[in-house]
Amino acid sequence: MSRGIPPDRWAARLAAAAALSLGLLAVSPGAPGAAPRLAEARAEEEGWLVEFEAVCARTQDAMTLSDEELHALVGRCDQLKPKIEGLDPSRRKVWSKRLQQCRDLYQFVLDARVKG
Amino acid sequence: MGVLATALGLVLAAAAAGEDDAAKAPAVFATVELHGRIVMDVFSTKANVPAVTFDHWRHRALYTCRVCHVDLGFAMNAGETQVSAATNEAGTHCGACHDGKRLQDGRPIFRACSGWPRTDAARGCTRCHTGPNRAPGAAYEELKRAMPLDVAGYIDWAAAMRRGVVKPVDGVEGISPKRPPMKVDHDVQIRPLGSWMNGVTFSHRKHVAWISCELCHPDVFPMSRREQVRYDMAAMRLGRHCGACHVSVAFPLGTCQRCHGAESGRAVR
Repeated sequence: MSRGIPPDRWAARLAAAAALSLGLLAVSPGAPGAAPRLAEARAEEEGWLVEFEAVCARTQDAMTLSDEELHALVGRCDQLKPKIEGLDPSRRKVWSKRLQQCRDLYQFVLDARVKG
Repeated sequence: MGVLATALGLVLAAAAAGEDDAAKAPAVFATVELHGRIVMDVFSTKANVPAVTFDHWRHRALYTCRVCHVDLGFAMNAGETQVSAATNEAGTHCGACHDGKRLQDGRPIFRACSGWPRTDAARGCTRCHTGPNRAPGAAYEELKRAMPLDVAGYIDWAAAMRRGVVKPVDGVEGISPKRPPMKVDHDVQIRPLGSWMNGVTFSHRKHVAWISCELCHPDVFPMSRREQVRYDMAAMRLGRHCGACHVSVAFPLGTCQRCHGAESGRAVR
């Protein structure tokens, strides 16, 4: 003000600064409103990974699983597929291939039992 | 600044190469003597970077095949993986281990693609992007001297693992699932037809020390137990069935006695 800035301009600047601060607080990880969103995103991210690990960890003992267990695993692979297709291109390349390998093996064991 | 801009340009160019490029991927050259040296060049030369010469022997001494070909998504066929600077930067493919953080023998594994040339100022990208004609170097000779050899003079990786000469790691933390041990490990008897060769006893147990069920079934071996299958050596030479690995990376098909030998059926050699 001492440099001749009109009071209404000062008020506008203060309002803009306040709005910016509030905006930054809202998106920062420490902000109360942001924490649940980030936690949700992380949980969702870890969710498919946990499910992937649970589903694809059974490939080594696929031969010992019952038909029902194998059908269930194939179904879980199919449910996981859209989530993996939603990943960024680099991760999608890797994880979709891995998922397909798992699913194909379980289906192969089922088919092999039918063929004998 | 110019160097950084060039590096960024190379990385972006490599990342920008499209899906269609994989279909036009050049042949991958394998050399038996070097246990599966391959040249990876789906994107590199298009981005004005020399091709990557990848040595299976260097990695196989440290990791099982399963780590890369199952957990990291490296395909068995040339050009299918589509590894690029972008995927490495994202922490997948080579970047899963080559991230500048994971340790090997107490030292960080150099970071692939990202950060060039800072991570290895002396050699920059050429640590991997050497072009197709790189000499194997002293490291290979040193490894071979320390390893058990088979009757044909190739490294006997199975014996090396059995004797503890190599102790390949079987997973990457945060990427590999915790797997139970394989419970069904029956041998498969394969009878020779119209040949004077001995039969083959295929041991699942020996193979699963390195690889996983889903790596072979159903892509490489789609048949069930009772199906009549004719394994053809000519087809194997083209990379089918056993030839998927035993043309170059694992001991080559010409080492007949390692499969057709009288002792091939024993569970423990």
